[in-house]
Amino acid sequence: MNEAHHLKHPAVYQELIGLIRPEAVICGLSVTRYLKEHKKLAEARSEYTRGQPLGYWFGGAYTYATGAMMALCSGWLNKSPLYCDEQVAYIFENSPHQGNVNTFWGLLDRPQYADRKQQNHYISHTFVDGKGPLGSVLQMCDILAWNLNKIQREKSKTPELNSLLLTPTFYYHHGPKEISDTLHGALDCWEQFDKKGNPYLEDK
Amino acid sequence: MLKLYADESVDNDTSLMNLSGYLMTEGQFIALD
Repeated sequence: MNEAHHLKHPAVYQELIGLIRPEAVICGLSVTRYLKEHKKLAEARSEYTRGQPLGYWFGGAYTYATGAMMALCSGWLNKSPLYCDEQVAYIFENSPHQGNVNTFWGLLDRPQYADRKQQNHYISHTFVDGKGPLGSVLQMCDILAWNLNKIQREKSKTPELNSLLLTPTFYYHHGPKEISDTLHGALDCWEQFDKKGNPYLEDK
Repeated sequence: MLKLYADESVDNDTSLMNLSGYLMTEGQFIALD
């Protein structure tokens, strides 16, 4: 979504804003980070990265974002008396980067990643066409993301954002420390298995 | 089973990437239609 869409279709925009009410969803979730910071940290190499940049072991920027979203959602579920045992189907809009996301999160169905799958309350992840039958719900998500970005840029809340935030919405920003910790934490996952989920051969 | 729908927005001026979504039950999803 951009300023032009918002101005070009004001009635649709307001209708979608009106759909987001506390009783209509369980909660909103939002994760952010600066791509420039992520890029710089993902390019780092060390003796632990097997000669590859850190990002090689975690995937691209969109894979990171979807992982951060699963972590935020799971953390919230773990604290929820009502929903702590629930599994989640994660549904994202089609992206040019979805192949990279599939490479990483597809591994969660492998037996050796059962613990990580459980930690993420993960049952599946899917990419869908934002212009298809699920377009409205994805546009609601887009409107939340766009308004939260707008407040960061302009430092003032829009009436629309005030309305959206009547619904409980949980926000987590990944600064340099969180990005670095997450990327290094990912290395632990690859300590025993390669990117295809196969165990490394023992050094002789 | 719950469903989490999410979409991204990137602010090209600041490089801030925001992925936002809504967690809902199947019943809530159907009611949105």
